[in-house]
Amino acid sequence: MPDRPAESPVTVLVVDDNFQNREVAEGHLVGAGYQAVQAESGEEALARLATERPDLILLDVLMPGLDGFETCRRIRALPGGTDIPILFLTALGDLGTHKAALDSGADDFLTKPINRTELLIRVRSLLRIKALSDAQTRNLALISRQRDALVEAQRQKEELTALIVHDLKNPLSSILSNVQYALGQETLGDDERESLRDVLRASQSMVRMVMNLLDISRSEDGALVPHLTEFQLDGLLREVSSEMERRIEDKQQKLELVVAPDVRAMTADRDLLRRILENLIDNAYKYGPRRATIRIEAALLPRGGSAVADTLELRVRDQGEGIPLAFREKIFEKYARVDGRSAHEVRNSHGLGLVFCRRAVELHGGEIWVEENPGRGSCFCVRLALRTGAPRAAGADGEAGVGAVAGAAAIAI
Amino acid sequence: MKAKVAPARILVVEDNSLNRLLVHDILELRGHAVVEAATVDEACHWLEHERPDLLLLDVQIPGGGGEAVIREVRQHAHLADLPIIAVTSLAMPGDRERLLSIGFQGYLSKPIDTRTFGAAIESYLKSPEGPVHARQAG
Repeated sequence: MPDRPAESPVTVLVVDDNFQNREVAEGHLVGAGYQAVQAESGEEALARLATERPDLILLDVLMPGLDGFETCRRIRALPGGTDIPILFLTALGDLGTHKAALDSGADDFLTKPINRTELLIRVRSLLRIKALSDAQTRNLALISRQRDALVEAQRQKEELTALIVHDLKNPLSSILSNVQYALGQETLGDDERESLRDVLRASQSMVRMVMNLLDISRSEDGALVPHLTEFQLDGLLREVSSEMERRIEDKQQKLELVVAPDVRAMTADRDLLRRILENLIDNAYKYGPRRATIRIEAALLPRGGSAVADTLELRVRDQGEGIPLAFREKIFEKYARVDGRSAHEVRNSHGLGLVFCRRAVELHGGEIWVEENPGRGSCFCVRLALRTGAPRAAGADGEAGVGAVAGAAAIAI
Repeated sequence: MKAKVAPARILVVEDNSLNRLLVHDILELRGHAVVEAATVDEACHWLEHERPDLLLLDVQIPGGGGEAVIREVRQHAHLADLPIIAVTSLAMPGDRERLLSIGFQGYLSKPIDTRTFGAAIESYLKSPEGPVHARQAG
C-alpha cells in the first residue's frame, strides 16, 4: 500500500467529549496502522496543537465548552492551522450542520455512528489530498528557486558578455587604425596590400559585430538612446555606399543606389542609421552570389489622409537564396527558434546584425521587415518617420507621439 | 469490522480512475488484494494467465463494454466459475435481468455506498459452497 503510513506513522487527533466514541475511532485508526491521540474537548485539542502537529483531526460537533465549529475556526486561525485536514463527526442527516461544518473550515464530514470503512476511506483520501498539496507547494517553491537562479545566471552571463565585448573594442580599433596606416604606405607590394586589405575587411566586420552586440545589450538595459540630429540623408547614403563598395569588391558585387529626388534632410540618430544600412548591405553581400547586384532604394511614402508625418522607406534588395516564410520574422529575434532549429542555427545564417537593426529601427519608432524580392533573393524594408521625435522609450511627450504615430502608420501596409 | 471472509484477490475493471481508487481503497481496507484494470484490453490480457477470486466489472467500460470481458472469460478453462459482478449506473428496468442472463452473478449500482459496498462484494465470496458454486452444481 503505497499511501499507507510507512516511514513515519501518521497521527490522527480524535476530539470528542464521549470516551466511547473516541475509543471506537481510535480502534479503527490503529487497526489500519495510524497513530491516534485523544482530546476530550475543543480546549484540550487547541492546547495540544501548541506543541503537537497531527496529520489529521477528527472533530466532534457537539461538545460542552467550545463546540466543533468554534474549535475548527480557532485551529484554522493558528499558524499553519490551515494545513491540517479536519474531518467533522456530525449527527446523521443534519444538513444544516454539514453546511456549518464546511463553513467553519472543515474539509469533510462523517455522520455518526462511525462506519469503519467510511471513516478509513475519508481519512485516507484527506491524507492523500494533503500529500498532493504538500508536494505541490514544495514543487512550486523549488521551481521558483530554480527560476530565480536561472534569471540570475542569465543576468551574470549577459553582464559578462557585455564586459568582454566592451573590452574587445579598444584592441580592435587599434588594429583597424594601424591597418589603415599601413595601407597608406606607398612601398607596399601587391601581395602585402592584398593581405592587409583582408585584415582590414575582417577587422571592420568584427567592429560591426562588437558594436551590434554592445547596442543590443544597451537596448536591453534601456541605455541605447538615439542622438537625434538633422542631416542630409542622400549624403549619408552615398557615404555608406562608397565605403561598402570597397568591402564587396572581393566578390565582384555591385551596389546600385536609387535615391528619390525629394529625399533630403531627415532627423534621426545618424550613426545608428548608418549602421543599420551597413548591416543590411553586409547581409546582402554575405548571402549574395559573386557578381550579384545589391540595390538600395530610398523614397518618401505618399502622404496618406491620416498620416501626420512624412515617412521614409529604405529598401535593400539582394540576390541571395531568399528567406523561407517561417524565418522572416524570427531572423530579427535574439532567441528565435524555428521548427526545432536553434536560434544559433538561424542566427548563423543571418547574424546578430538583423537583431541590432530591429532594435535600432524600433528605437526610432519605425518598422523593419523582410519580403521576397521579385525575381530572386530578399528585400529588407525599413520605414522611419522623416522627423523622428524623442525616442519612443523616453516617454510620451509630443514629439515622441509623432514618431509613434508614424510607426503605427507604417505597420498598416 | 474487518472482513469476515478470507482475504481474496479481486480484479477491478473500471475506466474512471477516481472510482477505481475508491473501490480499491474500500476492498483493500477490508483486507483484500486488488488488481486494477482501466481498459478491456488490460483486463483480458491479465486474465489470460491469472485467475482472481472475483471480477468487478464496470459494464459501460469503453472498448467493447463489460460484455467483451465476459466473452473473454468464457474462452478460458482456468476462469470457469469465476464470479463476475457488474457495477453500473445503468438504471433501466430490466437491466438487472439482462446482465444476470449474460453471465454476471451479481449487480451493484452506482453511486456506491462506502458503508455497504465491501460487505456486498464479500457476499459473493463467502464460502466455497456459496451461490456461485451451488448454481454451477445444479
